Amino acid sequence: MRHPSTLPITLGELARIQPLAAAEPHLADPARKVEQVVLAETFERLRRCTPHGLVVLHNEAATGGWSLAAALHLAWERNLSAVVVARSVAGDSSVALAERLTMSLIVIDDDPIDVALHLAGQVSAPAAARALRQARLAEQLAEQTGIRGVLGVLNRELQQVPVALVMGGVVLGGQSAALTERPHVRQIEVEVHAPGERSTARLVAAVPVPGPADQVESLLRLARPSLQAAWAQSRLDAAARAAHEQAAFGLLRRLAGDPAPEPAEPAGVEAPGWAGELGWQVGEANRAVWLAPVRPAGEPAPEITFMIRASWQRGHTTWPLVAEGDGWISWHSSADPDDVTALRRALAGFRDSAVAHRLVIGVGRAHDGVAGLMRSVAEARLAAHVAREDGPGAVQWFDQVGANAALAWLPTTEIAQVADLCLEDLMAARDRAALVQTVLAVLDAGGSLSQASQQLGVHRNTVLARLSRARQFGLTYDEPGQRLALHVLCYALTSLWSDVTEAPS
Amino acid sequence: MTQPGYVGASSSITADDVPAFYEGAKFYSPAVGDANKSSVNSWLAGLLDRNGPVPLLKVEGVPPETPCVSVCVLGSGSAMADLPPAGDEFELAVRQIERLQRVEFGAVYPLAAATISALVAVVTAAQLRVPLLDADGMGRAFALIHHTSMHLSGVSPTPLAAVGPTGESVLVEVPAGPRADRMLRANVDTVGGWAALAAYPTTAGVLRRAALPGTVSRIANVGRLLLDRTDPDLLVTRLGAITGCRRLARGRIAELEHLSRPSDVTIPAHPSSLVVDEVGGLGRQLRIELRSEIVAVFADGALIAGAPDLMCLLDVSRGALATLDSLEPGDLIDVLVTPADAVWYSPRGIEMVGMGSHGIPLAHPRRR
Amino acid sequence: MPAQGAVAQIGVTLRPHRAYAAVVTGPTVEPVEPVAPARADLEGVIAAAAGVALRAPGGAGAVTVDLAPLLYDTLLRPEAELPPVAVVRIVPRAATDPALARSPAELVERRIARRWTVAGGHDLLGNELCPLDRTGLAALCEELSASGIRHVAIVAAGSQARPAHEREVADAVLAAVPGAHISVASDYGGQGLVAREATVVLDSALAVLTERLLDRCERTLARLPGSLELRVARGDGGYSTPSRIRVTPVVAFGATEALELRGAAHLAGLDDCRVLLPRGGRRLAGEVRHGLAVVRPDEPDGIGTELVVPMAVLTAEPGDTSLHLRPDQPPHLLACIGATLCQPAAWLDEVAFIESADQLEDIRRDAEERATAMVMANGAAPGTTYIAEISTVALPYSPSGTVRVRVRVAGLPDTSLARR
Repeated sequence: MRHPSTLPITLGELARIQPLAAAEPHLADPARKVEQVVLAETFERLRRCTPHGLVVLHNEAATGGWSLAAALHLAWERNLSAVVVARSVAGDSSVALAERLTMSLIVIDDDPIDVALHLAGQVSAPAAARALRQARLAEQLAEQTGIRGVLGVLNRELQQVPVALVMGGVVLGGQSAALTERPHVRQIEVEVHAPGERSTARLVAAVPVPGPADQVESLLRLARPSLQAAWAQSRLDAAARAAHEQAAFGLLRRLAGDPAPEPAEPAGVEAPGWAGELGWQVGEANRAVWLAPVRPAGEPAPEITFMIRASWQRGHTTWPLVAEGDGWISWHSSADPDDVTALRRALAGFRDSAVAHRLVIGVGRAHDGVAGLMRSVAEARLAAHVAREDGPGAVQWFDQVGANAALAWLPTTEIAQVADLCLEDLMAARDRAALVQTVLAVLDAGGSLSQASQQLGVHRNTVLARLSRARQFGLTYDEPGQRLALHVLCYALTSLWSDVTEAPS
Repeated sequence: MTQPGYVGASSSITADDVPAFYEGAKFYSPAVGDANKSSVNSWLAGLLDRNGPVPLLKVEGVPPETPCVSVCVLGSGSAMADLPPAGDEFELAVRQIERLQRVEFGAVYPLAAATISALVAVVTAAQLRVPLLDADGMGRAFALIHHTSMHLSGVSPTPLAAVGPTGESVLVEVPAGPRADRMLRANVDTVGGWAALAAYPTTAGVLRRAALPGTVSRIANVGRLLLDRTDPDLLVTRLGAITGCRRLARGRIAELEHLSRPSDVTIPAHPSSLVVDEVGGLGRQLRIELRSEIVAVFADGALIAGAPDLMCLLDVSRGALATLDSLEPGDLIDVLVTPADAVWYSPRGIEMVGMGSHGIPLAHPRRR
Repeated sequence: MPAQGAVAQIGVTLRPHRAYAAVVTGPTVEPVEPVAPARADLEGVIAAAAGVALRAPGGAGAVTVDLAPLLYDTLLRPEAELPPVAVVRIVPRAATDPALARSPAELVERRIARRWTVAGGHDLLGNELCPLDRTGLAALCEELSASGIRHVAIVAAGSQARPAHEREVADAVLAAVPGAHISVASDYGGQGLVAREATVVLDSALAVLTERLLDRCERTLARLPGSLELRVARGDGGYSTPSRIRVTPVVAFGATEALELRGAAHLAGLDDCRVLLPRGGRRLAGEVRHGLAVVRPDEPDGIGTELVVPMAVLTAEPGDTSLHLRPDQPPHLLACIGATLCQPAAWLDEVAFIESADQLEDIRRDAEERATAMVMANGAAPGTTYIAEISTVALPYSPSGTVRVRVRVAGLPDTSLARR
């Protein structure tokens, strides 16, 4: 157990425990520290208050609208932290004046003397007050069964200190502002081990400096058991859901593939009711998304699926996520095929996770009904293959890929082996990559040297020189009979080599 | 600025002066509205037409041994509007003291040269056919009858006589001045909410040191400016030239709060509070504490004016004084402050009529 | 109900020598000018306006009539054929000064044939100041019935709080002069005996003329196709049903200014504005707030006394008028437009006594409820009423806890009344 903090207690902290927890707070600055509590019965007493004090108005100093206005003004002059006053005295205009003076005003229903005594105890023994606060927080945390709930409690409690649960650079819950590096802010981390989990998650809080770092850390620790329990539970739930979704998607696919009476109208297949139970929608315009690793490595582990789900479904809890082969399928349904705003927003939000997990994303076109969805899934998968060219985080829309998708299916490794055999000299040359890239650029440009030099960013003479050298190695790109074969070969070699250079050594 | 009909230091009051007199009297106590303005004005104008103008004399212009008596309306202007005088109340009140003291008063002066009390002093002088002294005991209106410069100078308010519109009367004699008001209040409620008061019988010689000079001619001059109904900005400038008043702020009434302070029964009218959002300027929140008069003005909680300062509100859109019984949220007002007579800023004056007497234990802005 | 399209509303203002009308259909304003040989009198313009309005796609709505200019003009003419009025003042003591015994306004005093004072009355909070002098009342009744005067205005001190004396006098007068038209001041509330007396005197004096004018309007409408509802504009810029105006004619007095303000604001498309109105060679400034003319019980221009029925607040032209509307349209057209926009309205002005802030709430609520009931009696549809203004202020120099409560309530027309 760490030593409890003896830093002065803050207004925000006081407002979270009784008696102020039952009051109506209008806090100008919850982080304002409270060093002293004064029960002011007269304006004379108010005038003698020292800065950072909290003043409870009573008797003569709390007689009516004018007295509160005058007290707020004095409090502002004396640089006090807050003014506490009985409800009978505080009207809307007093709240407005407090806001104008950026002075915290707390309206109480209890007896001012009792409240002042309580507060004085809390302020003189901040450790005890914090212990009280922790006990109350522990109760609240124990009531939470989900990660979202636990982080909600933390973020509410800590107010200006954002907290997030992070795993492998991906925010699983809470406020991602916790990860942002800012001046005068320090990150405090507590590790969270989920039972039976290989990787470790971290609970991160961004605490202002100077600030209550110790208290925040002890609160994070306090939340750890609840978080572990919630995580384990959600992992169980997630595993069950993943299995459920996989089975359901299999059924959907079979439904679409069933010999329909009129195969020309596959859109006639309606989504079965159980799809709706899962929160899935299959409507008029279904656009599938394929999330796939840059380097396929077989079926992903369940915890990866869990993390991808947490990240993908943030803000879109009803969007499906079905593990399929070496990737995941999701889709978005709407009435308007051109409505991609939500999808674009989701993709933008997912980008960091995609990079972290080394994923690429393919997006299909919008099609009608279950059969249309399956078609969009196939398109998304093709697009994802194309996206692999651009590395982790890349997104490719099938609408923009078209026939180029075919290229993604080229067995580049085998073609490269062909090159090893047929173009032995070229493959031995040190500048082979530059030569192949140049030939590919010229072929892509339909033979235009200027376009190719522009695309490569080299001088036209360099292009000419490389072409003549390539021709010596047998890359006779200008012979019509060989042009297609060499074009394919150059493409395969370029994509293979670019993959290699990008892959971590 | 001198205009035709200007009431100078020694002059007389004629029927033509009545409207200006009424407006000026309102400036020095903008408490009650105009519910009986026309009838009071025609009463006074009729008297001045029948009995001739009332001479208005400096106290120094009257032989020192001349017996003088003050008159005023005790109680609420609303009650007086609803139960107008039969017409002889003030005369009867003075006659009662004359009978008791076996004197004949040679001059009348207003207890407070403000509100309807200023007019009834002219009425009484016209009825008794004696001169009116250009002096009074308050220079504005305060809540209680011993809130006078005469009381501060040791002149007793009693024997005094109060005659109600019912024709009933009381004669009060007390050894200690402040007791008189307590004794009278209950009687005033019984006779219909207001009574004609004749009090502070004394001599002109005493009044030379005990009364506030020039306060009657002053209201006629202020009234002339107000009758012009000119542009509010110009009006404030002109008023400033003759009364020393200045504008504290202009704002829109946002809220009226009642019973804003603990109420004590010795002072009439319960405390209430007006919240005004300043228009232009610093956009401050003004809080105006009311009793029968305006007691204090706060800007963002800081006290910027308070009793005994005379504070009044000018209805900007009408270019006329706003009376405290007719304020409404949404009205655009100028808050004006005029210094009271110096005697009220003395320690005894502040103690008697300062903000402390209204439950506001703050130092006067002029004293900080 | 018309199926679709804006309903055409008719506004009429009755001037001494002719009447004017306009038809307002949604945003469209159409001044109506009867074509000869049709007459430009009340009947002529109503018929001409109805002819225009009935052609509107949404059908014709209501006819709102501003009687005020004719009422005022009649009062101004000493020789006008208005019935003589007897006034009974119930106060503890009769006035000893002639100026205090009469009304300060010549316009009012001229209508008074006889005055009586009966001892009695209450204070503002309803405490009896003096028992009612029944002997004096009996003598009064005898003299009154011998005088042949049929219109009696009765005002008692404190009758806003306790109308008992006023009612007893009214009952006795009615017994002595069966069929007498009696106006009692407690029907109008308000502040100030002189203002309350002037109000009931005008009420009595205008009763016969108002009856005749409303009869003419109703006969004209009866001859026209459809069932056009008749409404009468009030001094506070609202309207009442003709049956209410027949009992309280003085509330129709002074309506024109509020209507003109409202009409000018409507044409400018503003809910809050200040307007300059031409009046007898000079200009007066008025104000519209939240779509309603600002009104107060005050001294109307040129009357010479305060009244307790609220009317538009008009002040001398201020020095800086850059922010004021200066409507181009003739005043009678503005009044007609304003008339078509009238809402049912009611006004309450009372004195109450409170001992705590809670009690203040009770009193406010009570005043609001009564004002709401009044506005529904004036033709508002249930559920559409709202508090347009409310203010409670402490009465200066009165016993602690005395407050003045003023409530202004408006509502939307109850269209089912039109189909009665």
